[in-house]
Amino acid sequence: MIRSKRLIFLFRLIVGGVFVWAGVLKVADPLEFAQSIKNYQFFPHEMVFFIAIILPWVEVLSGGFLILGIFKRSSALIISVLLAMFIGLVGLALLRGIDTSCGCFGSFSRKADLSLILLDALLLFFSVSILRSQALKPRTAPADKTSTSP
Amino acid sequence: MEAKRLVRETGVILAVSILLGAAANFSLMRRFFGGEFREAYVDREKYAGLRFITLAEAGDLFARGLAVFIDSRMRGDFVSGHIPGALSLPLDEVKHPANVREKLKQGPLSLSPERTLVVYCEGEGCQTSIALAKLIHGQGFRDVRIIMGGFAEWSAAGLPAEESP
Repeated sequence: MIRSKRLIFLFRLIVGGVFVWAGVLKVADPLEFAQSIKNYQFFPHEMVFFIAIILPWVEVLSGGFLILGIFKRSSALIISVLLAMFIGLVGLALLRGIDTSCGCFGSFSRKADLSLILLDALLLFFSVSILRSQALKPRTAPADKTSTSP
Repeated sequence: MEAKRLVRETGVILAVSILLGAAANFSLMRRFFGGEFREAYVDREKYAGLRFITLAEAGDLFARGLAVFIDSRMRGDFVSGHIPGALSLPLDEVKHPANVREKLKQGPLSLSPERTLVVYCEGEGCQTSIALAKLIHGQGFRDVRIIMGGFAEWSAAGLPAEESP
């Protein structure tokens, strides 16, 4: 468990920055992103369209919120779920022998391979660390006016 | 309480994302509901000369010798069997526009942009033909067609195929 506030802050900047960048590139060209999702041959054709127009905004908002410190836990939760899904999708594509680009960074996308899974796993570790650090934050107990303790 | 707050905040992020996605892509959504993007997510405004054709259309172009066929599959697949006279241009070897430009200057691939090109890959759902067709279109070719059912449909229909030595 990572407790260092500075390290968690650094994780927030890294994960948030990657997601904002990835999201903005996809927002700029949703059709290109839709075709990338379709290349995975996992989702029905019609569903791909809606994923392609909504998911980039989820990435931009949750990444941005993570950097700004707004809705930190829910942003980290969304990002963790997304990363777990990305790892699963790339893993499935590899198992099925589908040779495709990941579609993660628009035209800067790289090949969907094992190194991408490792990169996503590292980001997942960062986001889960953020999530857990927020969950364990000490809470200030409300003052007990009826307390009889000395 | 914590869990409730987490669900509420997550819901807010998702709801705002849906609203922003719908607002930013309003015209795309209209085109989608109007019947566009049924074969692939290719922008017809950006790739005006690119279109999808049926096996019958491809067979007709082949029989009349009106098009050059381009195979986007891996080299090994091409060697095992391809449409007679087709040229091999595996997407794997030309993922960037500069590479396509180079390839389209070499040997039998140095074609006039006026020619009709028909690109195909493995079968229905394969994507390399679309990606390659877009790259070729970017090099000035204005009539690039894609066989929707790919080589699988072609060979299943008993149309001619040949192996490379």
